[in-house]
Amino acid sequence: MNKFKFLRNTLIYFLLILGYVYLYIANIEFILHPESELAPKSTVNFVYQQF
Amino acid sequence: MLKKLVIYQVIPFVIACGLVSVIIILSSPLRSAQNILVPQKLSGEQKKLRGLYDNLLAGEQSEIDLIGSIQNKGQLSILGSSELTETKYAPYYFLPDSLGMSVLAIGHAHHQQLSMLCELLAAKEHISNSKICILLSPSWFQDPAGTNIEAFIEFVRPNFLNKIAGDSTISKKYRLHLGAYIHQHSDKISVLSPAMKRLRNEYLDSKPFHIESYLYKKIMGEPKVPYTSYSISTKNSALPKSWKTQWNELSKRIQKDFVANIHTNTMYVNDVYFKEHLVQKNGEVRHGSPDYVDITACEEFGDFNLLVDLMKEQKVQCSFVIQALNPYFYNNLNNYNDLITAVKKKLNDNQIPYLDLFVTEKQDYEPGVLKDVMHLGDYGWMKVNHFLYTTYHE
Repeated sequence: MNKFKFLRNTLIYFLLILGYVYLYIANIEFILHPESELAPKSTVNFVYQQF
Repeated sequence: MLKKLVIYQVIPFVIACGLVSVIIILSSPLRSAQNILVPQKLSGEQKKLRGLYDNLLAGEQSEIDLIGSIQNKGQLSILGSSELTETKYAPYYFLPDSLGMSVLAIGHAHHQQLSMLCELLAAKEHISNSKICILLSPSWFQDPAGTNIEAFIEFVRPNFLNKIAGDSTISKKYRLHLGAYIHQHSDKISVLSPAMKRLRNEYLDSKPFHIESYLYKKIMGEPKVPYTSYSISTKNSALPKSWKTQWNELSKRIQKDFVANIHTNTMYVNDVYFKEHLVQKNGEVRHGSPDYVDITACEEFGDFNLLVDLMKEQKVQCSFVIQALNPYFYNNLNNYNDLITAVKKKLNDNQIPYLDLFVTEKQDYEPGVLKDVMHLGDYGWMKVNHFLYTTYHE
C-alpha cells in the first residue's frame, strides 16, 4: 500500500469537502463575523427599456 | 483494480467526510454566537395622506407611511409601476385635492406583483378591509421570468422580508413561492440575508432531499431572523372637498387638449415621447410587436394569482385597473387576449371590481387614455379616478 498516495488523497478530499461546506454552503465571513450586516445587492443591473 | 479504488479513493473520501463532520460538530459554539437577536419594532405616525413614493429607500418614515396607509381603513393605497408620475390628475393628487379622499401610491418601473405581494404579506395583520388598488400593466407579463431581482431587492425592504420570514401565520404557499424565487435568483444576489436564507431553506426542505439545505442547517443552524413588527398611529383621513363631480365635462376637455397638442404624429403619442423614442435614426417610425403570453409558463401570472388569493383571503377591499397599450404603436395586441381573459376570469371569480382599459383594435381605443404607448395620460387617469371614486367613496 502506498501510504503517501493514501494520505494525499485523504487530504485532497478533506480540503474539497471543507471548501464546499464552508465557502459555498456556509459563508465563512458570516461565521467569523456574525455581527456584520451585509446588505443583499443584485449582481445584475437591469436597464429600463421603454418597449 | 477494485481493491485499489477502495483503498485510494473510497476510504480517503469516507475519512475526509468524517473529519469534516467532526469540524462541523466542534464549530457549533461559533453558530451559537449569532443567536443573539434584537427584535425590531418600527413605530411612528403616518404622515402622508396624499402623494407618491417611488420606492421605500427614503428611510423608515416611508415604510411607516406605506404600512400606515394600508392600516388606515379610510385611505386608499395604490400599487403601480412606471405610469405613476407627477401629474395633478393622477388619483393620489386628484382624489385628495378635489374629492377629499386620501390616497398614497407607491412604485416606479419594475414594481411588479411579486414585490406587491411581499409588501402586503409584511402588512398582513393590517390588510383586512383595507382599500388597495393594483394598476396592472400587461407588459409585465412579457418576460416569462417575472420580477427581476434588482427590483425585488429595491422594493422588498429587509424589514418586510424579516417580517415574512418570521411570521409563522403566513401560509406555506406564499413562503414557498418566495423561497423558490430567492433560490432561483440566488446566484444574482451578492449575499443572502438571514430572512432570504430561511425562506430559501424552507423551499429546499419542501423538496424530497436537498443536501445543501441540510448541510447549511447542520453548520449554521436555522437562520436567525429578527422579529419585526410595526406600531403605527394613523391619521384621520378626511380631507377638505372642493370639487363638484363633473366627470364628463372635465374628462372631455382634458382629452380635447391632449389631442390638440399633438403635432408630429397620428398615433396619439405626445410629441416629446414620439421624437425621443419612436422616431428612429433613419427617420422611420418604430412599432412594437408583443410576444404571445403563455400563462402556463409565466411567473408574473403565478404572482398575480397569489396576490389575488392573498387579498381575497384577508378580505381586502381590493380593485384592479387593467391598463391599455396603444394599438397605433403595437401590432398583434391579440397576443394578450388569453392573458387578459384569464386575468378577468380570476377577478370575476373572486368578485373583485376592475376597470378594463385594454383594447386590441384602433377603433376601440380612446385617444388620451395613454399619453404615449403604455403610460396613462390625464384622460386615462380621469377614468381611473372615476372608477376609484365610485368603488371606494360612493
